[in-house]
Amino acid sequence: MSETHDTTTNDALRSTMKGQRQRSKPRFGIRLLVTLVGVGITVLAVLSVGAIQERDTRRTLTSELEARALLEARNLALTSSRALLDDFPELTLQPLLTEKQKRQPELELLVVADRDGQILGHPDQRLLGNRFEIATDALPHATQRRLQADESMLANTDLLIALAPIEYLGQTLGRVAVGIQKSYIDQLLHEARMRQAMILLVVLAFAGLIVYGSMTKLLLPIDALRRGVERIGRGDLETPIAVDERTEIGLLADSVNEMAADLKQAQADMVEKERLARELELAREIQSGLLPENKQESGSFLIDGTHEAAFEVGGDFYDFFNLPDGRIGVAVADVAGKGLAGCLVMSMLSALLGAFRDQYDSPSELLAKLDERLVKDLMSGSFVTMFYGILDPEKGKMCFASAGHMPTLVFRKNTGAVEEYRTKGIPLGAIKGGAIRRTLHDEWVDLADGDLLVQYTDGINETMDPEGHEQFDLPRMHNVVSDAAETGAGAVISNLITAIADFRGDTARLDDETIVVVSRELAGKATMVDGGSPALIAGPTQATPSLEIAPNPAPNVPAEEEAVAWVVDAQRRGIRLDLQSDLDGLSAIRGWLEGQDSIGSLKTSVKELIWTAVYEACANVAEHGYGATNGARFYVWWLSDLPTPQLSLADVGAAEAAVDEETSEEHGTADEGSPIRGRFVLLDRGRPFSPDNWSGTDFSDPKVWRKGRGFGLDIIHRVMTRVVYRPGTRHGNVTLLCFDSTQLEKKELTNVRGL
Amino acid sequence: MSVVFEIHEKAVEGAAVLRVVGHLNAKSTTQLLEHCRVVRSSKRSVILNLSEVEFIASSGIGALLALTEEFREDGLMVRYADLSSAVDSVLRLLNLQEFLGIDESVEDAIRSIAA
Repeated sequence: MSETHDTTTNDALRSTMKGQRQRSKPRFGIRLLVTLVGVGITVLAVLSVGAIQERDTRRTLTSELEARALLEARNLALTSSRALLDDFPELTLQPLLTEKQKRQPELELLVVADRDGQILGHPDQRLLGNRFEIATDALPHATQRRLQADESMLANTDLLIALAPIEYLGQTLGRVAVGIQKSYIDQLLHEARMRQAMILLVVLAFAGLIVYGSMTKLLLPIDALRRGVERIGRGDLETPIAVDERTEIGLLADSVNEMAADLKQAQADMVEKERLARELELAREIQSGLLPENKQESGSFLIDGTHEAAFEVGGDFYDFFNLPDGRIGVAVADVAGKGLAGCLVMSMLSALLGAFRDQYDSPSELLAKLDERLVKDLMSGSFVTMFYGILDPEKGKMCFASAGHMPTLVFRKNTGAVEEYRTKGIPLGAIKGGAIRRTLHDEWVDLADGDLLVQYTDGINETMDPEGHEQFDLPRMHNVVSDAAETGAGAVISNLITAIADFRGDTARLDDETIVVVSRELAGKATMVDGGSPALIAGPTQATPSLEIAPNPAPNVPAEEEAVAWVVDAQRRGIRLDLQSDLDGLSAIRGWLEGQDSIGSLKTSVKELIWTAVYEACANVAEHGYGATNGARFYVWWLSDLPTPQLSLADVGAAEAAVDEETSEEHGTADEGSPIRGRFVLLDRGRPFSPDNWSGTDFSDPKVWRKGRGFGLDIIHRVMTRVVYRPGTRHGNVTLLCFDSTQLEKKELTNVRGL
Repeated sequence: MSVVFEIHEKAVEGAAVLRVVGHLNAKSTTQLLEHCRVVRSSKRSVILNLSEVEFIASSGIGALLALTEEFREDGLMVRYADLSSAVDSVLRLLNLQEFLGIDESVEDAIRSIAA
């Protein structure tokens, strides 16, 4: 629930932030912006040009006005000279001036005065006879016109006044004043400005339309580009942006398409990388699951080993295990090729060893058998070197053979020397046709108290110094082994690892490194095994089906005889299913369960839970015991509604012999019982694995979620009322799952109600 | 004998609906995880229609948890819709129904993602 809430909150937050961004940053269309800028520039240009033009026009008009005023004054002076010679010049001048002003209203001042300054001619006849006086605010006006004698030009704020003398035969009769309104210029300029404004508006309208239209056309691909980028943002990397432009926008679209293609490739690469990393991690887990988890003690012997891969997974392999007759098998192998390929071959080798190890008493025979199987599957040029030994703890002897593997070192307590045992076997899978049989032979070595056997892979003795000049080599190994031998197997291993690491310095590990030590500890010095697998720390198993009770290896693990009794009981009363040791083979469980009347009549949900729990238990056996590879079989029985077996030892002994026979060929028959209680018994002869100490997964822990695995025991323990794993009995590893449907239904009901 | 396992994808707004058919075991879980990671890489949420899952192993349960966590880290959602009886039983057994985003139908899951 909290998950959903968090995700919903995040989505809402992103949506809100997006909305805020959109509100706080208003968007402007490029078309509008460019059009406005174009219009603005045009207006500015036109106004600037207009202002300059107006200034020049004003200057020209003023000059023309001066010329006109002067010309009008001179004409009027010439006209008035004859009139002033008459007796009544007013009669001539008055109509003349009135008519003149009527025709040219801009001539505001028209005055003809005699030499005494008396007005003789004026458009306003009321002023006739008055004295002519020029307006007091009129000041001399600078002009570029050439003025004749007695001519002058004045100006005030309103008028430009030209004064000209009236002459006749060299005598001055009076003077004329003609004043033109200055506003006349403004009026002309205003009219010119209005015409200019009209033209400007028309030009702007056309310019705006042209710019807007052009931008619309140019920006059409940008819309396609934007939609494409948004599509990419939504995760659609398949659809390219279709912009067929030869402009920069087209180039940009091509770049975005290339970017999307690169992004898609990068995503695919990332997914592939994650997948490979996960698979590699899985391979590493599987590989580490194939190696012994703990050292093994048997009598006075202690067997210990270590493995360090050069890469995430490696091609080295080692194992030690109980054999049916109380002996212990010890294997060390090195696959030519490291990494995943080596790991796969190593897994195959482990499975083959698990399948055949009980069938051969001779190490060389076993190696020959492994060669026979491997040579079919290994690629040309690929091979495996392998040491395989069978330790008889009681006799203190080890029989071993080597298929092209490194020499075996044996430390002798009594001499303090290290002996080398070299054999002539060729590697497994190297030559087809069974040629290896002619090269393999069994060697025997006696291990007295304090003696110690060391087997390793070439990653140890061929470790190079940092300069790459020299190998660690066997003489140095002799020294390390002899120095540490008296302190036991663990010290030999740790000292060898330390010496190798020191010798290698800061350079990377180039090869897988594996060491196995078989030591015969001195009396009173046997090392206790910490946290060992119950099966592995148990005493030597018995070859005969005697009814000696093996010591109970741990408080929570049943004695061997108790587990054997479960199997015997299952064989006598149960209904058996034979399963292949790969995961696909487990699909047979469902049909088998449905076929059991007692189970088939249960509620569907309960049946499904039983199916899941049994599947998980069987998957554990297939994966951990057989590496999930086909080729072996294991068995599961269903016993309905039976009490915990209380068989006598005699019963067990009588029935036990039949177990092996039955689990190899025949199916048993079933007694049907109560449908609500019963048990499943699993028997396998795969590699024993350490039963996990299940304590219930805390599903509220995010680390658990990220891990995403390891919940099989949760399912098994919650469905079953009792879960017991007893590895390493003389018949194999035994798993007991007790089931009570009433308990399960109660639990299911509780969960449904959420209690 | 190999069991059937199929994934059918259908796109809806902002999410992919994956109809899962068959058994969710260790093998098929890898396939489902890979498919979902492709969806995750395209920044879409995912709806798993589990109505046709006949069986779910612990590895399948692990995958559901891992997917939920992975998508959550990317700000995306995983919704589990229309659970089959097999899936529902196991989720209830482990009390996981309260941790996972479960919807009765695909339509409800789409609404949950859109909300």
